[in-house]
Amino acid sequence: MTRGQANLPALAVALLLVAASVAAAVGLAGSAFAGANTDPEDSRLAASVAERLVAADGPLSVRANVLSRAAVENASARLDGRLPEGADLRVTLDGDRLVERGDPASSATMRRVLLVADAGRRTLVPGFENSDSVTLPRRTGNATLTFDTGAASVTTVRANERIVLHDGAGLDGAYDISLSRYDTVTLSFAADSDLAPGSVTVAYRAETTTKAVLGVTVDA
Amino acid sequence: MRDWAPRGQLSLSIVEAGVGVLFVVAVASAFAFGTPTGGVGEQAQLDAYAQDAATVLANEPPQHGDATRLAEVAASEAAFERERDALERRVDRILPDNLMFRVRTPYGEVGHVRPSSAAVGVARVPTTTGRVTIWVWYA
Repeated sequence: MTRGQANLPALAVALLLVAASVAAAVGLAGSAFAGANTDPEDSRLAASVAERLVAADGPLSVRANVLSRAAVENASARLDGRLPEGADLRVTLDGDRLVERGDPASSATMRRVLLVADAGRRTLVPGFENSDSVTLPRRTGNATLTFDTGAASVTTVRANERIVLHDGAGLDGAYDISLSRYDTVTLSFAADSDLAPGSVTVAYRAETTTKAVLGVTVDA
Repeated sequence: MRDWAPRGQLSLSIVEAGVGVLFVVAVASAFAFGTPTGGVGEQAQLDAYAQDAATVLANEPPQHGDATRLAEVAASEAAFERERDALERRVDRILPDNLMFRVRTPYGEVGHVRPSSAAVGVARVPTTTGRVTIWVWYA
């Protein structure tokens, strides 16, 4: 019978061991479930807000995935009322905050790659040294021609052999012309005598784009 | 029979407890692999990056001919050979620095070799001469 008595403390130790390990496992499971985020609302909102901002008809867009620089600088006014209510959110562009509401602490950040377009006008003054034509940068959609020709008079302006301006008495003043966006346009000027440099000024709209990363963080 | 006692056998209860602890630890270790956390999924983010790169290329003016940059690289073998370096540079510029990419056109591919063991986002764009596919993944 002495052998049987020796097992009693061993049984107690064994029970203690099993109970402790069960308690530790349940604690681990409890904290894992508490930390789990099974509600994808934040990431769904972040993804759809980001999708909306890069869409072709988005509040800041010029076209799909291209934002206008002017609209971006005025972003807080433009996005007013267009973002989901009742959620903390932050919109950043290359790390600079565009809009921030509340203090979103969640990790639900959607990033999108896009371009920011800066539209400006540039002017070109053809020298007319060897030819009476000038080639504009590709994809120029429209141009404004200003004539100050002095003695010579320009009668006809052609864009890739298509006549865009004609006046038998001589063109004078400023004219807006529309050009094909699908061709590189060469403007040629027909005049009754040699044109002096600076007698024609061509102003056209030029767009420069820079790459940026848009980030949308939502904490609903 | 009385010769057993001095051998100091391990108590059977302790052995059973050891097996029991092993089972409990096995169940608990499942939680070590993690539970779903918040945030945008890696796959959704990569797909969005690929889609953005495709959209930017599809709306960009071409280097030489055709309507858009994407149509240009998919137009013909000669056009692809002429544009492949420019295309690779452009996609590299568009995407954030922590991404790698591969672009497949009907006439060839540019970019890095796709990994088999990483999450890869994909975007497919139809053009008049065939499909252009862009894959991106985290470097």
